[in-house]
Amino acid sequence: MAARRCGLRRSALISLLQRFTAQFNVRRGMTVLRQFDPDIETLAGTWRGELCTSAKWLPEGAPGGLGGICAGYLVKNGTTLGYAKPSAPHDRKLGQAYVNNPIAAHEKIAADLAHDLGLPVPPAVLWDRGQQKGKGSQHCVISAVPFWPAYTWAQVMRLPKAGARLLPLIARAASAISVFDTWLDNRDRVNAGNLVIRESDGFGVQVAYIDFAQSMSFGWGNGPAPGVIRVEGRFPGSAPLDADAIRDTVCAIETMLEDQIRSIVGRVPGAFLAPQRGWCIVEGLLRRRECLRGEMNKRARL
Amino acid sequence: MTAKRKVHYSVVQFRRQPNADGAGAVNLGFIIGFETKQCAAVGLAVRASLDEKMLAELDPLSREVLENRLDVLVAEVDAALNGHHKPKDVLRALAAQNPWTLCVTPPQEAEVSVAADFDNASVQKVAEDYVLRLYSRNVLEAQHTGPAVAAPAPRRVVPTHGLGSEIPALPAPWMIPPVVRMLPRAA
Repeated sequence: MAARRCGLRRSALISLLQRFTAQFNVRRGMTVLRQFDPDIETLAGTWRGELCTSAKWLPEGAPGGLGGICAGYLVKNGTTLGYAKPSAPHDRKLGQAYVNNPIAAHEKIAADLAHDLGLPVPPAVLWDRGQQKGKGSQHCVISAVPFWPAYTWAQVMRLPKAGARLLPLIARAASAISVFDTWLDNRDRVNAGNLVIRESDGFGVQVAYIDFAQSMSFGWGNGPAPGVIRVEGRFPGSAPLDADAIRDTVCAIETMLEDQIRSIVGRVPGAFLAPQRGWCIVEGLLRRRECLRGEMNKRARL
Repeated sequence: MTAKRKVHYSVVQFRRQPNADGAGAVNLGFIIGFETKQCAAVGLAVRASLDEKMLAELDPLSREVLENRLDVLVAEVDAALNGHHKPKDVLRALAAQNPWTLCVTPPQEAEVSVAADFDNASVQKVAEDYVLRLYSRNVLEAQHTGPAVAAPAPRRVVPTHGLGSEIPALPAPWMIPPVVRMLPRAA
C-alpha cells in the first residue's frame, strides 16, 4: 500500500515536471520546432503516457516488405498510420552491434525525450505483436506518420529551388536536433532519408527527424557510456546555424530533472530493453548532458 | 522461338493519402531490375506528362517534386546502386528509402516471354522491351485508381531492335526510352 502511494506520488511529481518543462519550452519559443498536425500532437500526448499499445494494429503490406536493416513496415489502426520496426534486425550478417541493438526501446526513449523537450520527433509507442513464425522479433515500436504529404530530404535536395527556399526555414530545427543527436549519440543522421519534410499553407514548413535505432546503447553496448567526444553536425549540413536553438535545446536538456530521464528509460519493460542496457542508457544520458554545453560551445557561442 | 526471362519491378507512386495500399495514388512509372548474359541493370520509366489541374492544386513542394520527378528518381536510383550487385536488392533499397508520399513499392517479380535473340540486344533495348511488356500487363493500372494523365490515343511504338513483333501499344505520355543504369558485377 505504501509502495503504491509512493508510486502515485512519484508519477504525479513526474507529470508536474513534464508540464513545467513544456511551459519552460513554450516561454523559450521552442514549440515552433515541433509543428505536427493537432491530431498527431493529441496522439503524442497519449503515447507519452502509454508505454505499450494495446490497440489492434494491422499490417499494411507484408511485414518487412519495405526492407532496410530493421525490416520495417506500415501498420494501421483505424485512421492512424504508423511505421512499425521490429526490435531485432532480420539480417544476421550485420554483426553483433545490430543484432543486440534494442531498436524499439531506443525509438521510444528518443520519442518521449523529444516530446518533453518540444523537438520534432514523431511520437512512438512500444508494440508486442505476439510470437512470430520464423524470423522477426515480436517486440516492435510504432512511430506515427507525423504529417502528409511527406518527402525525405534525399528527395528534396534534388530540387535546387526547393532546397534553397527551405534550408533557412529548417535551420532552427536542424540546429536543435544536432544537440539532441549529440546527447543521444545518434550515429545515423547521415542518412538523408531520416529527415522528412512538408510544406503547407497552414503550417509553413513541418519537419520530422526520424530513426534513432542507432543511438544510445547501439554504440555504448552494456556501458558505461563515454562522455561526449563527438558533436553531431546539423542535418542537412548546409542549413544555417541557429545558435539560439542550440542554446535553448542545451538549456532544456540541462533542466530536465533526473527523475524524468530515469522514468522515461526505466519504465521500458525488460522484454524490450535488458536491465543492464537500461542502466547504461540512463547513466549515459545523465553523464553526457553534463558535458553537452561545453562540447556544443565549440560549435556555437551559448 | 521464345525464351522466358525474369524481371523485377517496383511501381513509383505519388500517394495523396497516407495509406500503404496505394489507394488513390497516382502512378508515376516503374523501375525494373533485370539481368542479361552480359550484365545486370536497373531501368526507370516515368510518365512524361501529368494532369496540369492536379499539379496546380498541390502545395509548392509537392508540385516541384512532381515536375522534377525524373531528376529526383534518377538520383534516388543512383544512390541505391551503391553497394548492391543484384537488381532486386537495388529495388528493395529504393522501396526502403522511399515509403512516403513519393513512394517506391516493394519489388515484385514477373516472367516474360522474349525472342530467342533477346540477349544479343543492347541493355537499353532490353530495358525498353521489358518496360513495354510490363506495361502491357497493366502492372500500373492494376494499382492505379486516380487520374494521372489526360487519356491519350494509344500509339504503337515501332520496335527498332528486332526483339519480336508483339510489342504492345503504348500510351503517348510515356517517356521512352527508359533511363538505364548497369550494376557492377560482384567481385
